[in-house]
Amino acid sequence: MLRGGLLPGSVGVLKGAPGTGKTSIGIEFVARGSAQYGDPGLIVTFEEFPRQLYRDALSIGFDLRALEGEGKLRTVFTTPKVLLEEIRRPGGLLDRVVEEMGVKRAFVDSITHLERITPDPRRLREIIYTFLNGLLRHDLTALVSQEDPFITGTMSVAEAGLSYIADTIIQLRYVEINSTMQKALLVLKHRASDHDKRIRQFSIGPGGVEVSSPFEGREGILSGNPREVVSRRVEQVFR
Amino acid sequence: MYDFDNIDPVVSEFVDEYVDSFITWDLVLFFYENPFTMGTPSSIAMSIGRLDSDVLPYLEKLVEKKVLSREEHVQDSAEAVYSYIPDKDFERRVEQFQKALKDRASRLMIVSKVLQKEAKK
Repeated sequence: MLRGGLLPGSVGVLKGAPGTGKTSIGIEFVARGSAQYGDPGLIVTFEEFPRQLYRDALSIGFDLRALEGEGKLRTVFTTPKVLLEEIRRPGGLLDRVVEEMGVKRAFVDSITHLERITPDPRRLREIIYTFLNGLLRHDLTALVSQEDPFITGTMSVAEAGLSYIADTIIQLRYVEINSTMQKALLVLKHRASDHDKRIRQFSIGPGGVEVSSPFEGREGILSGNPREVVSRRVEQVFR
Repeated sequence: MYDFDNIDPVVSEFVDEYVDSFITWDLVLFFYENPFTMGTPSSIAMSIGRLDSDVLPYLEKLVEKKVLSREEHVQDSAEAVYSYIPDKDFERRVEQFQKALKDRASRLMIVSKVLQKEAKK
């Protein structure tokens, strides 16, 4: 869908409501890079314990602990405040890990937790800007997750100025079709690329994340409650 | 009373040397399971469901034993940051400790041992 993947040395945002698959996609991005492409990876988690991520990653086919044992990956559990200080500090965590391991891919779950540092939106924007530029300083390719507060319905562009800073924005949504919740994925923004504009279905299974066909014959997918396209229904009536 | 001679001697020695309280027990397992944690006393206390003030002295004891390191550099806060720096031998012993806890009889013996240590304080 991205026509060549994330831009090297860029930051992408994965947006979605809880449970839409942000963490799984982020883990796969880093773990697959580490296991298959030799790109050492860093995962930073603020709320989910690494032991939970180890378990969840195993269920989609990635053994993070084994990759850590081989020095190809590190899963850091910390607070937003500590990480921000570490990013700013010369010789801090990020500098050390990048130098030691040669980190190429990073996933931060989730940038929404930076809101814990300050309730002031202007200050928050500065913090996010500093934070993301701190990642970019190391020329690594990063994905950060951002939580949408609503399961379906209302949708916003990435908050706190992220939409301007991020090179890529991927939106994950729940979609209710025939009383079943399905998951949808859309690339809202991918700088300097003619990316796929269609809204596609995706699922998460033992082999990782699988993106499948677009939602055809329906409109209003992003509302979470799509309708069948009328012309199609009319055709069916007269068939 | 439990027969402490029946505990795996490696586990018994480990408990004698490191696990002097239930909070230390929690901390040792927490860092073992989440090895690249960098936390302040308050974030670590939250992670193991304890009070900051209760956790701090045990974090310091683990620093003395060179299981954790402490750095003080959070600019806007007086809180230090603790990280896990175990050697291979310590890791191996925690692994055996964790395994022993899965066996009910061993677990009860370890609980009893820690309770006795807590009572002596």
